[in-house]
Formats: sequence, C-alpha cells, structure tokens
Amino acid sequence: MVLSENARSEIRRLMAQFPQRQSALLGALFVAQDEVGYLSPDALADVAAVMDLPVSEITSVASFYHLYRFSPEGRHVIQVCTNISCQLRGCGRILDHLRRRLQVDVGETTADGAFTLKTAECLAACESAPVMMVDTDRLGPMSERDVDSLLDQYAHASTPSASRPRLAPPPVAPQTSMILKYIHEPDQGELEAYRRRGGYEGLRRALGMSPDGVTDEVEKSGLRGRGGAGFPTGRKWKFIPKDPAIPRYVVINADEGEPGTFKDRTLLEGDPHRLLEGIAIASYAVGAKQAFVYVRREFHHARTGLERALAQASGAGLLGHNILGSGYDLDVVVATGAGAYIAGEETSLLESLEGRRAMPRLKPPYYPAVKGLYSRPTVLNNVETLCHVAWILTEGVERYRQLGPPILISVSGHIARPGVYEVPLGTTIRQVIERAGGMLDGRPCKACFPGGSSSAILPAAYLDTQMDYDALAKLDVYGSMLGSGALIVMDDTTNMVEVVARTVEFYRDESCGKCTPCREGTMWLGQVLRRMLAGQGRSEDLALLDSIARGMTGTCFCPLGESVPPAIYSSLRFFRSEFEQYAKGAGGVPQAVHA
Amino acid sequence: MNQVPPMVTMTIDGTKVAVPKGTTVYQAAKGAHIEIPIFCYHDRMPPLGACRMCLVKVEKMAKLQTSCTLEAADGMVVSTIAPEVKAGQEAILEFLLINHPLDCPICDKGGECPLQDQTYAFGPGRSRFIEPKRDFAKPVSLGRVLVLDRERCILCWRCVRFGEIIAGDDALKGFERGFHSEINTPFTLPVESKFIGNTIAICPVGALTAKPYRFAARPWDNQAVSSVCTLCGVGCAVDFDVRGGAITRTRARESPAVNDIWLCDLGFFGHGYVHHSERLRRPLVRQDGNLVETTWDNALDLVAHRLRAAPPSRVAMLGGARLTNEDAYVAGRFFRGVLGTNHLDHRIDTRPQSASQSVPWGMAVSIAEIDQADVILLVGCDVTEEYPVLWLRMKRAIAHGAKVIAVTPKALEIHRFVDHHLVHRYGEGAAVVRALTGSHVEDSRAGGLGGVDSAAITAAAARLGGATRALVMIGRAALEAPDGVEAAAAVRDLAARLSVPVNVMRGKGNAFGAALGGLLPDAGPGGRPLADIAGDLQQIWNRAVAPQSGMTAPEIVETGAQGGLDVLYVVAADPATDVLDHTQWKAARARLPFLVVQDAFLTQTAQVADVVLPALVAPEKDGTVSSIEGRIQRLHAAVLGPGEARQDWTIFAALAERCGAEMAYSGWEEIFDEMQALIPGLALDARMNPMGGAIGRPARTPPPPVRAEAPSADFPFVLIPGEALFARGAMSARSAAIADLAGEPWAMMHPDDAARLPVAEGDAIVLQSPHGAAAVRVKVSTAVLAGQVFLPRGYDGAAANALADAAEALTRVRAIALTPTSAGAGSGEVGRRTP
Ligand SMILES: Cc1cc2nc3c(=O)[nH]c(=O)nc-3n(C[C@H](O)[C@H](O)[C@H](O)COP(=O)(O)O)c2cc1C
Ligand code: SF4
Ligand code: SF4
Ligand code: SF4
Ligand code: FES
Ligand code: FES
Repeated sequence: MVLSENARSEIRRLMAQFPQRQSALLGALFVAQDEVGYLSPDALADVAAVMDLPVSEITSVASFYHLYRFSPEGRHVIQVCTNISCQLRGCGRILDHLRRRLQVDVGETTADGAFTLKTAECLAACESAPVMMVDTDRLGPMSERDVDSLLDQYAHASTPSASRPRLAPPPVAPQTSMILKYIHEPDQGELEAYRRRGGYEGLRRALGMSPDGVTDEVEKSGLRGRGGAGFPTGRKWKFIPKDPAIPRYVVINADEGEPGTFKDRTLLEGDPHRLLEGIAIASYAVGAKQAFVYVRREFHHARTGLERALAQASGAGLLGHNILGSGYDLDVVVATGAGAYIAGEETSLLESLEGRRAMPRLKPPYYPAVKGLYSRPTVLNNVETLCHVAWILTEGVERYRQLGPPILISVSGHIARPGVYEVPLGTTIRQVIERAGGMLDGRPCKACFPGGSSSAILPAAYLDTQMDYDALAKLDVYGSMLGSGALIVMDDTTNMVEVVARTVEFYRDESCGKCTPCREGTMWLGQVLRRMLAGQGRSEDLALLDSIARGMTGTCFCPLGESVPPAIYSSLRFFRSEFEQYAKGAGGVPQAVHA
Repeated sequence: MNQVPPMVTMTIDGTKVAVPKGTTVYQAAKGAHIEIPIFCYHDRMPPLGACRMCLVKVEKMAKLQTSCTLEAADGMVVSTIAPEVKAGQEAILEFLLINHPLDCPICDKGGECPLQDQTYAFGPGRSRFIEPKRDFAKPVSLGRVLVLDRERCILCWRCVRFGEIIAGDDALKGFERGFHSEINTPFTLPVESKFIGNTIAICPVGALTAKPYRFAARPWDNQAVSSVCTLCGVGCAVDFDVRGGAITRTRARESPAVNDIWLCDLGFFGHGYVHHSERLRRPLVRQDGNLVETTWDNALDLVAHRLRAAPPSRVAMLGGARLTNEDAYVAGRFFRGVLGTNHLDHRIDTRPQSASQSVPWGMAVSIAEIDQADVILLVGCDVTEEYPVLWLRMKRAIAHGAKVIAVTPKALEIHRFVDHHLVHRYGEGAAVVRALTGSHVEDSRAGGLGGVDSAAITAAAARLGGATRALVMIGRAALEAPDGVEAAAAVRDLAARLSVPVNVMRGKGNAFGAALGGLLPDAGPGGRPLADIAGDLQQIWNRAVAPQSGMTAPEIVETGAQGGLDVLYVVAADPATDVLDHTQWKAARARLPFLVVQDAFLTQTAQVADVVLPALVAPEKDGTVSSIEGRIQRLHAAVLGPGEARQDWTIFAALAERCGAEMAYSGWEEIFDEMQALIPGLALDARMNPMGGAIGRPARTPPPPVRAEAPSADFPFVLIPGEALFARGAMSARSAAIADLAGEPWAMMHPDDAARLPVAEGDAIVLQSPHGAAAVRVKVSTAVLAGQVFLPRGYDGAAANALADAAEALTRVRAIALTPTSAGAGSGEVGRRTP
C-alpha cells in the first residue's frame, strides 16, 4: 500500500459523486499521482484495489492521457505551449532559453531535481502567448527576462508557493456586449455580485415556464452550439426522449482545446455563475437531475472558481434540492480531464467521463441524445452555448435576436490586442481584426485560420468573408468553417510550411489512435513535413502530401482526423511556392521576426 | 420474442440482395458472396469501425462508408468496386503497411494472414514510404504462451475487445495513444488470462503468436483432424493440426451449441502431453521390486490369471474419466459381465458418503441455454477453474442483463461480474443456501451466517426471487464440503421453488461418459439402475449381472485398506493423488495383493503397481465422448500412439478372451451400436440426461459422524481444497506450457492471517495437518475469509490429499513460514494472479 488512508478516502469520495464508480478514475489517478509523485505500479495497484477495477484497465486508461506520468519528475513541472498562436508569438525562443538556463532538453529533469521541462499543446490562453505553466499556474506573455526572474524566484523561495510569481494576463478588451458585459468586473465570480447584476433571473423565469416552453424559447433564439459543430441548441434538446422514467443527463463540455480557442476558459474564470445558471436552465428543460461539467485539467484556476461558485449557488438554493422552491432538483458535479484534445469530441468526452480512454464512439448507436452517458439520453453543450442560454432566458429572445445574435471570437496570433471579442454573427474577418487593434506592428496580413486549426487556412484575399456558419462553409476552400470561432492571424513573416507542420503534429499527438488513416496518416504527413523543413525535401513531396491527405479525407472515424486535410490542401493551394522551395531540398523562406 | 424481422432490399454491385433489417452492409454482401476486406470487424463482437478497410460507396452518401458499421436499408445502392472504393482501400492498406515489417517469410501467420492476402488482392504494390518505420523492441514475451510483436500489430483492437467483451479478463489492453498506441499488458508483465489463445486465433496478423507453436510449422504443412477437447467436461470442439505424425497445435472448431469458436488455454496448449517422452510404450511388470518392460502377452496373461483367481467380490475397478464412451462401456462389460463384480466407480475423488455420490452428475440444461439465464446461481462452482468455456457463455448472459449470485468458500476470479458474492466459511455454505430460500437459519456464530453479511444474503434472496429464468449450478466445493449433503438438498429445494433443474457441475474429462458406459457401482450403461437393466444385459451380454450395488470408490479404497480386496484395477486415473485421503490409499496399496494400472503415464499410482498397461490418449482415439451437458461427440484419431500403447477397450477385449469370454468388436462403431441397444436415445450429437449416482439408493451406511473439531491453537486454519485450471494432474503436468502456466504450488490466505504469521505474497510456507504436509507459496488475498486457507488440489508437488483424513469432515492445518523470500519474489506468474 503506497496510498495513504486520506488519499483512499478521497478516491472513495470521488466515486460516490458518480452513478458509476469508474467515472471517478481520472480524478482518482490525480489523487494518486499527487501523493506519490507519479503513477508507480504500486500506486496503480492501490487505485485498482480501492476502485475494484482491473489494473490493466486503469493502467491503459492512464497511459492515454498526457498529464499522467509513470516515472518521477522534478519538484516543479514547466510546460511551454508550442501550438500555433504561441509559435507565432515566439515560444521557440522561450523554450530555447529554458533549455539553456536549466541545462536540460524537453522531457528532462534538472540535475537538482527542481524542474522538469515539457512542452504543451494550446493551453487555451493564446491571448497571453507565448504561454507557459509552472505546476498549476499559467503565465504569459513570457519574455526571456520573465523566464529569468521566474526561475530566480523559484530558486530563492524556500517554499515556492509562498512567493509564486504571477504575471497578469492582459484583460480582455473592454466592450459593450451581452455575454461578456461583466467579464472584466473582478467580483463577477461572486454570487452576490452576479445576482446584483441580474444573475439567476433567467433561471427563475425558466422555472416558471414549462420545460418545453424553455426549449422552444432557446430554439427560437436561433442559438447554435458554440463548441464547433454549430448544431442548433433547441433542436438538440428536443431529441431527448420525453418519457420521464428514463434518466437523462446534461454534460458540459469545458475541455476547450481547439488551438486558438480560449473563450470558454475566459467565461469559466470570469463568469462561472453564468455557466451554472445556463446548466440549470438546460437541465430543467430536458428533465435532467444530474449534470456533469467536464473541465479541462489545465484549467486549475477555472476549476477552483467554478467549484466555489457551485458551493455558493447550492448554498443559496439555486442548485441542488428544490431549486428556488420549484420542486426541481439538480446535482451538478465537476469532473476532470487529463490532457487529451480528443476528449473534447462529444462521444470521446462521454467515454472519458465514464473513466475510460477518450476514444470516440460509433454513431449510431451512440448518439448522445439516445445512448449518451451511461448509455442514457444525454445533452452535451459547450460552455459558451450555455452562457448564451442564461442570457436568452434572462433578457428574452427578442432582445437576443435584435442585438445579435452574438458570438465570441478568440483572436490570437499576429494581432495587436489578442483577446476574446463579442461580435454580431456575420462580422467580417477584417472587421474583427480591426476590433482587435489591427495587425501586430501594422504588418500586412498573410493568412488566417478562421475557426481554429481544424479549419482551412485562408489567405488575405478572403478577409472580407463574414464570420458566420454559412458564409465560411460556402467558400470555395475545402474545410473552411467558423468552428469554435478561433481567429488566428498570421502576417507576412510567417513560414507556412512551419505552421502546417506544427498543425499536423498537433493532430498526430492528439489522435486517439483508433482508426488507421488518422493514426498513420498524421504520422506520415508529419515525417514528410519535418524532412522537408530539415532540407531533405524531394520534388515528389508535394504530390505525396496531397495524396496522403486524400487518403485521410472522408475515411477517418471522427472529425479529428478529418481536420488535417484542410490545412494541407489550402496551404498547398495558396502557398505552394513555399512548399516548392522546400521540395528543392534547401532551406525555406525566412523565419518569423517578431519580438 | 422470435418475431421475424422485416426484410430490406438493396443493391450491391448490381445484385439485388434482401436481408433482415438490422443486417450490416458487410454481412449483406458476404451473404451474396461479395467479398469486402475487413480487419477490425469480427462477427462475435459489435462493429467498431476502426480499421476503415471495409469501405464501400453508397449512392446519395457523400463519403465512403464502412460497410461493417453501416446498417442495410431499403433501396440502398452499394458499390464495392467503384474506383473511389478501390482508392480508399488502397490508401488504408498503404497506411497499414507503412509501419509493418512485412517479414512474412519468417512470420508464423504467413500463409494464413489476412493482411498478406489483402496486400496481394487490394494493395498498391509499392511503397512510397521512405521515412523511418515506427520501431518497437522486437517480439516481447507476455508470459508462458503468448508472444507479441508490436511492429506487426495493425491495431485492429480485436484482442483488446475480446478481453473486454468476450472473456471479461481485460488481459490485453491498448496503451498510449495515436501513433504511439500499442497493445500490451501493464508494464509488459505476463498476461493474466485463461483464454488468451483465442486472441492469437483472431489476430488478423502475426502480432500475437503462440510460443509453443513458434516456427513449428507453416499452415500449409498442417493437416487438420477434427476432434473434441477432453481436458475438462465442457467438450469443446477442436481441430488438431498434425504434421509429421505430431500435433503441432490445437485450434477451436466452430460449434455453436458448445464452445462457439472459442477454447480455453488448457485446450489450446494442453496437447503437449500426447507426445511427452514419458509416455508409456510397453507393458511393465514388477520383478524383484522393479517395474520392467514385458510383452503384451505376458502382461495380459498375468493380469487375466490374477483376475480369474480372485473371487468376484474381491475384485474392484477404479477410474474411467479419461476413457472414451466405448472404452468405458467395454470396461463395464468386462468387470460386470465377464468377471461378475459391481465394484466399479469412476468417481475416485469423492469423500465417503459425500453428496457427489447421491446426485447425478452433469448439466440438466444445455450449454447453449446458459446464454438465456436471467439469474445465475453458482454454489461451490468455480466456473473459470473447472469449466472455463462455460464462463464465456455466462458472460454473454451477463451482457444481456443476467445477474450472478455466487455462494463459494473463495471469491471467484470473475468477482467483478458477480452481483452478490456470498463468500462463506468452508463447510457452512449449506446454511447460506438455506437462507437464500427464505427459511432463515439463525446463526449464533460470529460474523453472520457462515461469515456472510446477512444483508448481502437478503439482497441475493430478493434477486433470486425475481428470477424468471434462473440457472442453478452446484459444484465440487459444495458437494464435497462437510455439509455437502445438506447443501445439495438446499440447492435442490431452492431450484424446485424456482421451477428449474439443478445442474451438477461435477466431473472432469469424460466422467460423464464413464457414467454413461456404466462405471458406477449401482448403475449399468446409460445410468440405468442394475435391477432395471439386468434383463437387457442378460440378453446382450449373455450373462447374469448381480443386482446388488457394488462399492463406491471411497468404499473400495477403505475395503482395500482393510484387506478386503484381491485385485484392484485402476484405469486412466491416479488414486494416489486423487483420492481424498492419501494415508488411507497407502494403506490400501500396502494390503492389496495385486494392483493393475492402465494409463498413458507412470503416474504415482502406476509407480507402485504390479502391472502397468500402456494406453492411448484421447487425440489418438476414435470413438465418442460425452460432455457435462451429456452431448455425445465424435473423436477422430489425429495421431498414432507411442510404442505398443493400445486403446483401452481393446485391452479389455483381450483380457476377456483370456478369461474365457467372447467380447470382440471390429471397432468403436460396433461398440456404439451395442450401447445404443441398451441406452435409449443414444446417438451422435444427442444430449443424454444426467445420470449416475445412487439413483434412489438409500445410504448403506449412515454418514460417519462429522468430527468437526473446534479450531485448535495447533492447527488454526480450515483447509479449503479447490481447483486450479492449469493444475490438474498427470496430463497437464506433462504439457510443458500448461505446467508453466500452473507455476509452483500455492495456497491462498487472508491478509490478516498473513500479517500474523508473518508472510508476504510469494513467500514459501509449509501447510501441516496431523497427517501430512505440503510446501507452497503464499498468495495473500481477501478472496478467502480469515482463518481459512485455500489449496488447489492438482499440484503433484503439494498434494492436498496428503493433509486430509477420510474420517474427518474438515481438514485443519497450520502454516509455517520458511525462510521468507522477499515479498513478491515468487511473483511473476505465481504471485500476480491474486484478485
Ligand atoms: C476533435 C474535436 C474536439 C472538440 N473539442 C471541443 C471542445 O474542446 N469544446 C467544445 O465545447 N466542443 C468541442 N468539440 C465539439 C463537440 O464535439 C460538441 O459538438 C460540442 O461540445 C457540443 O456542444 P454545442 O452544441 O453546445 O456546441 C470538439 C469536436 C471535435 C471533433
Ligand atoms: S480520426 Fe480516428 S484516430 Fe483520429 S481521433 Fe478520430 S477516431 Fe481517433
Ligand atoms: S495484436 Fe493482433 S488482434 Fe491485437 S490489435 Fe494488434 S493486430 Fe489486432
Ligand atoms: S473448456 Fe474444457 S473442453 Fe473446452 S478447451 Fe478448455 S479444457 Fe478443453
Ligand atoms: S495557448 Fe499557446 S497556442 Fe493557445
Ligand atoms: S472492418 Fe470495417 S472498419 Fe474495420
């Protein structure tokens, strides 16, 4: 036995939160990891014993998620984000600097055991790019100087936590808006302040309506899911069977991982009660008695705030038993991710929430509305979606349609004021860039991802396209889409082959490995692109890249694999000369030069 | 329930195909003889859609579709040959091959590899992949039978899903993710499974191979002989692959009513004994204290002479579970009809007056019906250790919603699937079963009834009360327990209340065939009571058969020990290790004037015999065997026997001739015909009713008073004798792979007891009773209650029967720690299996 009685009872407490005990596995593994330092065979055996699960199962699950470790690491773990937005803002220099200062390479621990250096995928904080995390603290934008002072502080602090450096994330640009109206108020996370600003009135109103009436109102608002797929929210709720005898669940997708997207994290950190209000309304509308918020593990700050808000709301009778005297009960449980982008995909999320490897399920039969969590009907919604719901029920459908409908756009990359912007649906890309202060250093825009790295790359010629589901989807560029509303802009210094390689590698490392084309295709593409970047390109490589992408197109099991070809096709089409340059076997175009 | 589903009509490659609604496009195409390549799909598991090989084009659908996951719909127009389909399949195959070593010439799968076949049929034929391949350490060994080559693995997930869906043992798992994904066990430890051979069979490439079969043969060199596994009572259908007169491997033969397409690892890897160097090749006789080879004529003359000289009442025969039905019948005819003794019993491992002797062995329901149960009650039946493949059926029932109640002295390996696990003190299970019927027996002893929490009993009783299709099984650990008679009665009453029959899960190998053939003291062929069958026997055998019952096996041993026998003839059995009380057996041997052993090996019994006759084993025999469900199945001789070894029935025929009787047969068919005349309903593939046991026979002597002494400070533990699949005596010990799987002898004790001794997992201890001792390694587990020690019976090196005393109801032991090896040192195979 390596786990203390404390740890074991904490695991039992987690198990009691869920209808099925395996759902507590991801959290339980963190309990063990935090206590032992890593998941040793003994620690895994103990978790298996407490949870009465096979060791093989829990070890297999643990190995799927990147935030578990199987050997000891340093006292502090430094993770440097290397995804696109951070790459565009110079994360490479930060990483190099850390390598030099710590005298270790990525994946290694310093000789004194103080630091382990790692890289991370998009931490959903691209407004502060380049971003890094030290243990549970997120820091950015980082400069070499910041790194130095940070390391010094850790080196000199006897108890580092006492004097942990904190770099303030730049505030979201102030704006007159609906959803983001109070996001910059420092006390918005407090129940008192939230209620003072009209909070939970939407819930009160909803509870006075029939559940179907609530659903109708949401349907009328025209709200479409903000997780990426854009499915009409009211219609989704209507799929839930009416028979009240069948238990059903609401699951909230707070796993925000699409590179360039950080609006959900912003909402969670800044306005957690709005989310809780949206959850209660959605749950009431579909008749769910339990709701689960699946929060990305890296969102430590957000999770703490959410749990605090949850306690406040429950204490005030806004959640839990007999909400606002209506007779309606709702239990909200906060669950954790463990480092897997694919867990954001709805069926994978359900697998993960059931304590398994986050591999997507086959649809049919596993449509969440029919066979979702624990094979029960389940509504799955994104954080932003439910924040809209809270607003709609508070202010009414008419005002919502009049003023908007709004969407949140995460703007990052070579932009003067990166941040989350609320704009009416249909605002053009160019207008959004202007709202965000224009291009960084006033350089010309070369290209952008309009909907996160899963969308196609659009060259500057498309900047007048409206940021709207249909307008982007209708473009003559394969894979162009609004997605999660992540606008990553790139200026004329950008090396597109580099960007595409990094994009491919993201999907390669986040592929669940279930299906052949995604698992093998991403690996192959990554190898070819790296070889080209290393000066070993061949004339047939352009055709090869295109053909590998074709082999993946329409053949993958889930949208993750299908997200790769758009970047390949669009970059080969619009930035072909850069690829041709590399195909000659020599180095390519100049590197980015931003400070 | 059995509504015919509506049909849908679709077009595949221009052919109209009508299939029941719910059929997949892949199955519809297959039914129309249109081949679609597959890797991940396996028809015993729900579709997964992972490999993406089975792509087809469907009109009005934008993307190519995976035919294994797509349900056929009316009016669907499917193409399996469109250029896009071909391009898609080529792409998938190319993706699969970029990281595949293509070492077909040295791969065991070569020649029967779907990937190899697909590469020829659909592949692009050249590689555009110039990057370094993913490399894994070369093949890794995962225990005694399994070898994993991760470079060959195409990640079809079949093996993983087999462990999750079919066997429930989660033996092989996926680790890491994306292109780092690999199949493995945690930390590459030996795989923990009783069914891993099946994963080798369903692996579509040579990633999983059998260590015992590595490089043994190429598929095209093998000749398959269909037969039946006789290593437990399930009777799984097998094919023996034969090359150069030797069995190179055992494969499952599809048999929907029995094993479907699966086997257990004992079946897969348990044929090694057939070609073991210690097989007996020539008859042996004792000369000057030593066993020396002799001719058949000499040996048979000697045996016949002693048999003729002895009064029939002083001749007895023991054994038979390893015979064919025909062997058993001829043996019975010889002893009853020619020699005139009724002292025949194949049930040598029963306690005197145990419940095993008063209930008919075998299943009353069919194996296939297990699938349909809604509540399964296991009383003293360790299903995965005793009848492994039946567990796969139960797993299916569980998938359909069946609940499992187990009343056992040790928690079962399948405990995760047991909804109500009532683990009780050994010898107190009957009271627990009684309590399940509602007639609660107040128990004054601490810890509730038999040590079981009463709320758990109440919950289980409620569950049982709601059953509409209960399946009730009672097994060895209940029947042979001190309260076995009471347990059997309680189970019978419970089943009667549920209006279902009792399945008596008792007997190894062809025990059922031994009973069918008539190797019981009180019943002739077909289990017919002697009085009932005497007339028929008279007609066919031309001999009068004494109507009084003969002695049971324990009585035979006891009588032998008292000097009451002149000749004991042991056939295909090893009483020295199997009878309950080894001390008594030794006494019997000492006082026996003449002991004949007819077997394939020089067993412990044979070593002390006066004559040893070498016999064939099942894969060398033609004939039939019977399974636990009473199914009559055909054995085909796959290989010839060693030296001069003979099939058992021919030995009895030769002895009959020397005893002046005419008992000649041209072959097994003629014997079978004769049996059919005596046994109503006997036919190939028919299911016979459970038979045997003392049908309506009152116990001749009242059960001996149970001397259940209070626990003494000297011998504080109650011994639970149990079963372990891979440790079951002479044959498994001589199949190298199985002996390895069995590992060293072990015993299991509760952590509190272990802490008190103190011993740790893997430490060596000696278990001592007033009668003997056994050295074992400790497994520490809460699967047994404190104060109890579980000891598998089958290890020659630690014979449980050395500890027991036939006169005592319970065996009490003490445990003495030997120089402790560091905790877990015996680990690996032995230590890790603890639940
Ligand atoms: C690979 C992949 C990753 C995804 N990640 C997220 C995510 O992080 N957050 C999210 O809300 N939706 C994500 N989605 C979309 C979800 O599958 C799902 O559509 C969404 O959560 C539904 O909520 P909505 O209707 O409110 O948008 C992802 C989808 C895919 C295919
Ligand atoms: S496309 Fe396939 S391998 Fe990739 S994430 Fe989806 S299911 Fe997994
Ligand atoms: S080992 Fe074989 S069965 Fe298992 S996933 Fe790999 S290829 Fe499939
Ligand atoms: S279950 Fe029994 S009959 Fe079937 S393979 Fe295993 S040992 Fe042989
Ligand atoms: S936080 Fe680094 S790319 Fe998003
Ligand atoms: S066989 Fe259909 S996807 Fe694998």
